[in-house]
Parts: sequence; C-alpha cells; structure tokens
Amino acid sequence: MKFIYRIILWLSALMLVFMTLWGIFFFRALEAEIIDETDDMLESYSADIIMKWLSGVDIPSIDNGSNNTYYIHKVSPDYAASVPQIRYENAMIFIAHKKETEAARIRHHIFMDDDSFYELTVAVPSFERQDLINAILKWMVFLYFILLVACIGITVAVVEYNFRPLKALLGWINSYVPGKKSAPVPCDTGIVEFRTLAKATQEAADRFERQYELQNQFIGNASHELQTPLAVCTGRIEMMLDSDTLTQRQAEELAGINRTLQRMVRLNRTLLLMTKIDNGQFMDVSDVDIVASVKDSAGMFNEIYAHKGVRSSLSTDGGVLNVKMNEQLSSILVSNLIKNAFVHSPAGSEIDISILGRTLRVANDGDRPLDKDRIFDRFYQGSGKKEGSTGLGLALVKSICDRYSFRLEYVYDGRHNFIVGF
Amino acid sequence: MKILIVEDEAGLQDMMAGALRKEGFVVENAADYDSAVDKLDIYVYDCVLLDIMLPGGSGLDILSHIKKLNRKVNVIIISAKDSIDDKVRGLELGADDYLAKPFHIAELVARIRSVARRSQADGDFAFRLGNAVLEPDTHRLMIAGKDVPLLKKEFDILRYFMQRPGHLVDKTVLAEAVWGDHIDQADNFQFIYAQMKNLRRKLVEAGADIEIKAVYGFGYKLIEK
Repeated sequence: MKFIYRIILWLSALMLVFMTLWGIFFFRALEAEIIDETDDMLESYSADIIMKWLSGVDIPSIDNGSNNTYYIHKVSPDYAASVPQIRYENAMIFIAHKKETEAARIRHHIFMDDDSFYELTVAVPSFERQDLINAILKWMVFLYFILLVACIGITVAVVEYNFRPLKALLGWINSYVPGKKSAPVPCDTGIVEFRTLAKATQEAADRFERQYELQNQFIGNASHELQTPLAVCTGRIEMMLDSDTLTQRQAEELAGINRTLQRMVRLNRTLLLMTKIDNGQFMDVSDVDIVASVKDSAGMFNEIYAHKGVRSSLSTDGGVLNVKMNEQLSSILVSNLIKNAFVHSPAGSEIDISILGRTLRVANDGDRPLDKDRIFDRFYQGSGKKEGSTGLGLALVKSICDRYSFRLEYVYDGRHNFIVGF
Repeated sequence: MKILIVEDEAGLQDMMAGALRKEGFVVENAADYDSAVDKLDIYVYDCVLLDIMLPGGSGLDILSHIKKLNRKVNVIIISAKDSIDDKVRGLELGADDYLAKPFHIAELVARIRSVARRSQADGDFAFRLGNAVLEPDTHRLMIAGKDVPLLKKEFDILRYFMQRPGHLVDKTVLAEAVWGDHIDQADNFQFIYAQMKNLRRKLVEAGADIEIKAVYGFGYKLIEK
C-alpha cells in the first residue's frame, strides 16, 4: 500500500470517529440548551397561572390559540406527598385545536389552595428529538465530507511536496545495480531525516560496492595466481610424457593427471573470463551476425556430438539478426547455449534452434523441469554432475546477457527452452 | 640460440629452462626487473621470454628498454593476464608474440622457433618437416613441392603437430587446440579419429615422409619416417 493511501485511510477513519463524537456532543449541548429555555418559559407560565388562580383572577382560556395547554386537577394529599412538587417530562400530547399529537415539554406543579392540593400541568410543544438528530446528522455528514476532502487534499499536497527527496532516493535505489557505476545518492534537501537517510544509503552503497569489487578482484587474483603453478605442472608433465623411458602404464597415468589439470585450467580461465565480463573489460563493440554465429556453432557441435546421435536444426523467419556487442562475447554466448543443449540432450534426440525477430531460442529434450532460479548460478548442475563439465557455461551466458541487458529466460514446456531476447 | 627467461616464479622458471635446454637452447634466467635489465644491457640474446608482472617493475618497461637498446631481440610475452588490452599493448611496444599462462611447453617451443624463423627469413612463416611444407598464412600444405588439399580441421590438426614435431600430443589437448574450448573431456573422440584417418590417408597418398603415429593409445606424435 502506498504511503499516501495509508494516510488517507487513517485520516478518514479518525475523522469519522472525531466527527461522530463531536455530533453527539453537539446534539447533547443543543438539547440541554433548548430544554433549559423551555423549562424557564414553563416555569414563568405556570407561576403566572398559579398566581392568577390563587388570587381568583380569570385565568387564560385553555384554548387561547397558542399551542400552550394547561390543566388544573385536584389531587389527593397522598398523591401530593408521593411526587415531587415540581416535575418535568417529555411526552407526546394532543393539541386540541390542531387536532394532532406533538412532542411537548410538560411541567407538573403541585400547589395548595384552601387545604386542598392541586396539580397544574403545563405543556408546551417542543422540538421533535428525532428530527433534530436527523438534521444534525445530515449536516454532520455533509461537514465530514467537506472537511475530509479538504484535509486529504491539503495532506496529499503537503506530503507529495515534502516527500520529493524520498521519492528521488527511492528512484535511485530502484535503479541501483551492484557493480555498475551509478550516480551519487540524491541528497538535495534541507530535511535532516532525509539527509541522514541519503547519507546512510550512500554509505551502504559504497560499502557494498567496495565489497563487490573486492570479491571480483579476489576471484580474478586467485585465478591469476593459479595460472603460473598450473603452467608449471602441465609443463613438467608434458616433459615427462616426451621421455622415452616411460612405460605405457606410467604414460597413461600422466596423461590422466594432465587431463585433470587441463580441466582446472579451463575452470580457471572461465572464472577469469567471467570476472572480466563483470568488470566490463570487453569494450569494443561491433555488429555481430547472430544467425551466422549460430550456424557456425551448431555445425561444430553437430560434428562433435555426431557419436551421440544428437542433431540440431535451425529455423529462422528469414530475417537477419544483427546485435551490437563484443564479438568474442557473442560467440561465447551462442556457443555456450548450444553446447549446453548438446551436452544435456539424451542420445538420439533433436535440438531445435530458432531465431524469430530478435529472439534466439534453443530447445532440447528433458523429462524434468530445471530449477529456474538456480539454473544460471555458478557451479549449479541440475540433474547429476556431468563429468568434465565446468558448471559455468550458463553462468557465463547470464553474465554476458546481464552485461548487455539482454533478456534471458528458461521455460519448460515438456522440453527445456532457453530464450535470449536481444 | 640463446634465450633469457624473465620470470619471478622459481618453479615455472626452472621448468621452462629445463624444457628449453632439452630442446637445445642456451638458457639464462632473470627473476626480477633489475637483474633482467642488467643482463640485457650486458649480453645479447636471440629471444627473451618476458613475464609482465615482476618484482621491481613491469615487463612492459623491460620491453621498452629492449627496444631502446635497438638490438634485434625477439620478445615473447608470457603473462597470467590473458587480456586483449595487455596483448595489444605488448605487441604495440614491439613484442613478437604473446603467450598466456598456463601454456603447453611444446607450444612455447613452437612459438620460439616461429618468431626466430620469422626474424631470420623475412615473412616466411612456413613450418617444414621432411618433405612437407605447411604455410599457415595461405592454408596450404605442400608435399614434395605438390599441393595437397586439406579440409579446414585437417589442416588445423596438422599445423598443431607441425609446431611440435616429435612431441607426444594427448588427444584431449589436441581436441581442445583444434575445436576450441567447446570440447568436454568426457566426450567421445570419434570426431578426431575420423579427421585423423582422412589426414593420414592424404599424407600417405601424397607420398609424405612424415607420419602421425598413435602413441600409448591416448595420444599422437608427428615423426619423420
């Protein structure tokens, strides 16, 4: 969820709670004020009637055109003693001249005249609670939305404006690729927190970069350092192999050692090559004809793997596929992909190579899908280790594709498909 | 032929010196920049095998020094850094050849012979053995003065052997040299046998007095009959 949506959600929820509480409070306050005023009026009205009653003056007629009504009943002393002298209540009363029932505020007043108890009931139509609640609710909802829109608008504007440095920083992090030279972390802000964040990011990136470089250097150096001892070993073995006093058995042993050494040499060379690719040491670029390169490689592997009965066929859409890249790398890319298919195909199967548009696809037989996430890792060998294979072929392909930002994909659809989008 | 090996790794120096002496060269050693420059100032060599990374300085500086001396010395750079940049820089500075470590001793010998031949007979790169002459530049093989047409792979195989006559060549090494890094050692070598059979037949038919002999069941050797 985006930060701004989170803010909007919280604002809406909290404002809803706040406005509800405010609505309740507002209603209560308004109600109390109205009741207070009505009671004052009822009090003076009843005082007026009682005074007139006691002094024997004519009291206003019950139906005097106003909505006010009053009754005077004689009550028993017991009743008078059992209720408070003055009582208020809300009730619905029937207004005779209007012939309808309305909400009213009623005041009961017990008074004494000539040793008899009388109860004066004065009623005045008051507000309808429900109407008031509805009205207040309606306006509260209206206010809520107005306030919400205003609040969200202002917040979004403020957040968007002030979070620009964060946006820039995130953009930088997204575009960051380890090992590739990137621009310094954007830190064009006066906000302390963002400056700190940018600084921490820069430091982390620098540290990471250094480590990446060191690791690359280490592999490179280790491989370099191995070259000389390897040269000594192979040289000495070759000299011994040339000697005339060797027995057949000894010669075979030596040749065996030599082959193992050659394997080390090849591993070492491939690691060096990868380091060089990752370090961007293959600078010169030319227009490479991928179709021709594929034909070359396929021809050679058809020859080498003829004994296995594996054949390859090439289909194109008749177009040319020229790619701007280093020629050496292009031939490594193509030959490793095709070789991989030849090496891992069951005997007697067919390899389909197709070049359509700017996509090269190599498909070969295989009964189980490979681990998509690890297939391009160094030294990862899926189904059992193949003797003599370095386990670096596809890693090399990936290194090259990464270098040129080519799309490299593995898809299993009953066969293994390796796809490069140039 | 007198050769100076400039190499700081004692083991490699020892091995190279031993192998080259066996080939009949006179060999001297220098293990660092200063002693190499000293020796080059005093003595005259036909060929210098030069390591790039040396204690006390860079092999490329020694190369510049040799060129300043203005003597006719062949220089072969031997470096663990198999980078095109280094190669180009070395060759620009006047090195005659560049060999990346690790290398095959036979190849080193072949390269020394090749640069020596190049400097002696201007432009004649041909390898000669018996009545066979192989010209790498024009991809031609002549036996007793007559052209023998070879397919590309057959030619590559023969060239590899002509560079190291009398040396045992393991078939896996041969396969790698001719077919490149694409060969796996676990592979079946049927494709070599087929090429080899044709090549041998062509040599015999042309009446060559050189022969590729199978040795120990895993290798070959080019010999004069």
